[in-house]
Amino acid sequence: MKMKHSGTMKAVLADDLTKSMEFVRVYAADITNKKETSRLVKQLGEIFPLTRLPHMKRVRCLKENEEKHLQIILCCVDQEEDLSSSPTLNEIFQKAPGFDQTGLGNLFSTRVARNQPKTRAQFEEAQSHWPTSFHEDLELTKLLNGTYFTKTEQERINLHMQMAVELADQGKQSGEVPIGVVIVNSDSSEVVASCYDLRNTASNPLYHAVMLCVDLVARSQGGGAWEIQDTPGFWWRKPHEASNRLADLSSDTSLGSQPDNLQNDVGQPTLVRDVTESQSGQNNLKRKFNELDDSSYLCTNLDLYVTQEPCSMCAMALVHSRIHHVFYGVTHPDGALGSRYKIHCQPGLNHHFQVFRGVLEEKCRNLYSEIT
Amino acid sequence: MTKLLFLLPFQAKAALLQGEVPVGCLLVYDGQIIGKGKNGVNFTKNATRHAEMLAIEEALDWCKNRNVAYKEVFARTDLYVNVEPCIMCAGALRISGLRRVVYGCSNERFGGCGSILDVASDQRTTDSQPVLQCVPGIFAETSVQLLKEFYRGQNPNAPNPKVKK
Ligand SMILES: [Zn+2]
Ligand SMILES: [Zn+2]
Repeated sequence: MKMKHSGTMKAVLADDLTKSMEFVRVYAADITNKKETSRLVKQLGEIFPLTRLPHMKRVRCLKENEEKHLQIILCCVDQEEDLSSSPTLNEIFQKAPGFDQTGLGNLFSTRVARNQPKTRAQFEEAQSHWPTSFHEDLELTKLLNGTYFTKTEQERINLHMQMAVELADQGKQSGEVPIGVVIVNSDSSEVVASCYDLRNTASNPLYHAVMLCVDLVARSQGGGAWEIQDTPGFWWRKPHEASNRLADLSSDTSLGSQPDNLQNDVGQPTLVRDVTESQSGQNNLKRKFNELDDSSYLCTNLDLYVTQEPCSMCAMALVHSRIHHVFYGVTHPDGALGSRYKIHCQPGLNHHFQVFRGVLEEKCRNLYSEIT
Repeated sequence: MTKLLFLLPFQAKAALLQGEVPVGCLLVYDGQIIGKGKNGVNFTKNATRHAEMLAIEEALDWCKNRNVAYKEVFARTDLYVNVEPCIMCAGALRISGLRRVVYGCSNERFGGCGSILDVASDQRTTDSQPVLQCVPGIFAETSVQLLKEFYRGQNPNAPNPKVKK
């Protein structure tokens, strides 16, 4: 009863992981003489390689009344081919006149998985038609069955969302859209920044809580763009002295020692210039400071908690900022992390992250119940 | 009006000179520039400081200083930018209620006006914002040049600027 709410948290996964399998038709035949099996597999592999179905097992074994019975895939059914006109073995092997049909019996067509299954559920669905290969991704399995986080982690997740709910409520009192955000360090659970929405009171359409919080993180690293006045509930970790000095040192060239894969491939990203060119003492110094303050590059290794699913602007801001995980309470029809789009797993983008919805869902829903 | 647009490549160039990705933009209302922006990600350590965001803020100030409602002004304001806005900026332009975006080359890595997603013209359920009109092609060649200059020999993950034919 006590942990009831944690059960509603769900990973928001890419469509290809949650949809059911797609199938294609193939011609297959009974094997009447088991001794011919390996020869048939070899020869069929030469004349009809299953290039588009590399995950399919060519032969399957059916058990009927204690008796084993083998069947083999011959070739794919052409899409244009009329299924009502069932061909004969001779017609199928027309193009391969030398092929020895010994051992092949009754010809039939059947459905097999178009792609290799990615999840256990898809595997079982595919398997019920024809055996296929499957490499289980254990992390994905945990995401799907809700064991990705330990109990302690789930409690911590709820605590952080509770903070976000209270911030949203604080904003609501002052006439704001009730959205609260908390950004925490993934490893230490230390809160780095927290705030709520200001789009109404500041009459600035860009002041979405997520955008504000991302800027507060930049502030905590000695940067930041928005001059947000002291607002109750707004908080950011004050930059360490080391970070300040880092900011001074890097004012001319930008952050000097980020991991290589973070280089200038963001939309209009932080640029790492001349890192290899000028391995000067200054750069080494910068590296030292970065070691002291290891969380100092954008939102790398930070988790974000928000009461409501972010919009396209905010979701893409989190891609640019390299957020680690996102947790949200309730969905929004125009939301971009599961509802309208799944920007966190959008093919083609250079950064992907894990998203979880339904954290303290009831409490979050209550924030929005009086609106609309 | 068209004379003003000569400023656009200079905005982008200015960003380049400061070591930022060469993206610059102008917000034009009734023949006058009410907002300018160039990419400022490095300087602020905030990866969301794209040229478009800065320009929108400048234009909001412009409205505030003249005591006019930004919504009315923005409904007749066009953005000129040398690269297709990314998904975030396209979202910001929608939220702000701007009328049109005229851009240079397409942004094959992050574009929000159709290249990756079409945030500029999707139908929303909770607001009645009109869609953002998109017109590609302005200073496309110059933009590709600038981006190439920026990324030259630097990174295999460089954005993929393309001139829309
Ligand atoms: Zn938003
Ligand atoms: Zn952008």
